[in-house]
Amino acid sequence: MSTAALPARETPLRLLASTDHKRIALSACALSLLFFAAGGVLALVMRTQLAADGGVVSQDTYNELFTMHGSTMIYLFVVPIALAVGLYVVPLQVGATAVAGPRAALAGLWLFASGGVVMWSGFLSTSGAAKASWWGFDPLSDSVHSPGSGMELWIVGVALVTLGQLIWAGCVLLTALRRRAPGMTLMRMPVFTWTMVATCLLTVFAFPALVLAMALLWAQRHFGGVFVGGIGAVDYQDLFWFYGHPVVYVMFFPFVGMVGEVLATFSSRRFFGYSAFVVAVLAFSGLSMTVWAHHMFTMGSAVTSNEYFALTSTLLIVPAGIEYFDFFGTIWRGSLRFTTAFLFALGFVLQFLIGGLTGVIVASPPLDYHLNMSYFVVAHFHYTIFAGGAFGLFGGIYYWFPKVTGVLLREGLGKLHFLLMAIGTNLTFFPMFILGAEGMTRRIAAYPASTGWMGLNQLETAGAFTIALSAAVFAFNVVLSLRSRRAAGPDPWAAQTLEWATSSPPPPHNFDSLPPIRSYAPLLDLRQAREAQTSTAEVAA
Amino acid sequence: MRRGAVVLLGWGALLGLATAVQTPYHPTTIEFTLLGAASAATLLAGLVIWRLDARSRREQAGDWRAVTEESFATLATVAGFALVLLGGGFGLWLTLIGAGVLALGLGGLLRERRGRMRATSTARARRATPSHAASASPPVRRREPHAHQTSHEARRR
Repeated sequence: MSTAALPARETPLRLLASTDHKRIALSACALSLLFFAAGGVLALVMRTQLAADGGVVSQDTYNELFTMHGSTMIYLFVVPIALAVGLYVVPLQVGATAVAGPRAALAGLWLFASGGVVMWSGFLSTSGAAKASWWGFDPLSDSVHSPGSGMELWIVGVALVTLGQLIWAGCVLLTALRRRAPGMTLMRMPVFTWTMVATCLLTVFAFPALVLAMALLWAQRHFGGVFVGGIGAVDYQDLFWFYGHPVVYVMFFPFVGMVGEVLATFSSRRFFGYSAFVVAVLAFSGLSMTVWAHHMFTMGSAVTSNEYFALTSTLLIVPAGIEYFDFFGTIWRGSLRFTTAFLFALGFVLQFLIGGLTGVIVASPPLDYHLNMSYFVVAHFHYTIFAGGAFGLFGGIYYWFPKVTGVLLREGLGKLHFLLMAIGTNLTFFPMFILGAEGMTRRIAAYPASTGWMGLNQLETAGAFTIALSAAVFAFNVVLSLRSRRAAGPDPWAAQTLEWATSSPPPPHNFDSLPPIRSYAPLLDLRQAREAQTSTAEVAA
Repeated sequence: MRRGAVVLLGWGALLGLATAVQTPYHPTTIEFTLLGAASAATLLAGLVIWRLDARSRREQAGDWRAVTEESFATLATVAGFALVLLGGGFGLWLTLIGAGVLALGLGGLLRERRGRMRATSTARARRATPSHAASASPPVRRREPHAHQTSHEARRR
């Protein structure tokens, strides 16, 4: 076993102000994981409340818990970590020496950090944290129904965080489009970079709607008269969901790309159907901008409007199907290596399918009338974002951890992490489909005993604690691997893309030299050329 | 040749098509405006990138670009901006403090910009000297002695 040397320490002040995209991304990832832990604790309190059928916290506190849990997971964990991984990896994958707009990327980090702190500081206010859900719908969020500074801090926090994410997305998009190395044409960009391009397009052109919504909500609270009457409240919802649906895709497109990279590497095969995948990802992201009002099917909009949004929502299954076909084509007859990263990628593929297929159900207005606001919807989006997104994210973390730190994570602990997380996830979220279909509505702190929902709720709570245990195993794995270091080398996985052509961790300028780029898998090209040379030499000998 | 703009133009056209398809379904004003505005913004961004790419192709190959390593001015700018926003709800005193910090940050950014331009011109001047031109073939990271706030480094494009 070889050991890795500890990297030289930097002064904390320089780390705070560094414009190196790798440092910015690492700080953002660390902060996101911290918020993930905090949001997870809130979820455990909620699950304990529901398993005990009330009594742990008051209804008012429960409102704060689900609001801050949703807000934390979406604004402060999944979206920022997805963009942060892109900020780290995309410049490396396209052979750039730096990210486009390094100062802007640094500003994005501090907007995110300050927004997160502002949002959470609501818990310190006398009125408590925000309690109008992660949507902050008007009039629930106005100064009459949500008085106090908790809601105020939430609005400013969300605006700051979203501005930061917008800036990051702009930087990553410009890096992919304008900072590519010679030879790295658009159709030679790796699949992860393409999914980040789609993610950043969504972020840059949909997230301004949320910033505008927050500004208007702030004005409504202070001056009134912004969202007037019933139509005004619906206008807020249109603005919010114009951000709120694309953000769902921002929360899984990067992980689709990560899974694509992991499946190709550990199947020892070139990614199957690359061109179709690129077209599908761009079409998928474009379509996802056109479906936002399916969250408002039951609002009483015109029937024709519902028809349009039902049509576009159902169309999404076409590009999704192409992506799945490409995944299975990649691993088909591949030489599979069942590493932790590969297991998490498989977990993503299988579990995300459940989230996707139940999405087809709620995309139909008649069915949505029955399921809207029920636990079925909660199960659907948790299968999409957690059982899908978080599994893809952990696949990416196990895959790129050696590149980022120069050391390998322990595979045994990683597999234990996967097993516990898979059990916990399905125990927690699958019973929600049944409870939702039976009529259990979301955001309730207690329910009558006569409903018979307690058994399934207790099962879900056991699952939630199993997920927490799996997170503890992951944290232990990271600490152990960083303290007792096993050197990874530049390319421990025999990977295919450019980030593996430089040292682990990469130097400040990313590359000392670049290999020739003739496809989206330049390192695989090199290996195949070397193997061909060797076999020719053997034949000649 | 870089074709990054094609992605934005194509994606913007797709959104434009979706906006057009929406018309027979009698969308509300806000529904039509949101999608139409996103399409227009994407197309506009595509045109800007197209222009930028065309301009950068005209630039001299092997030119120098200053790379920033750290920026405390950015930190001050963000902190000032956040305080100004919070001041809107918590009082004028916080807005004024935020405005002061923001002004300091913006001043720092201007100073950094000047330093960056100086670093680039120094590197170009060195490159023009034959002895330096020969030695500067790999990506070089040299500390610029005249930049005080940040360490600007010159690197070959």
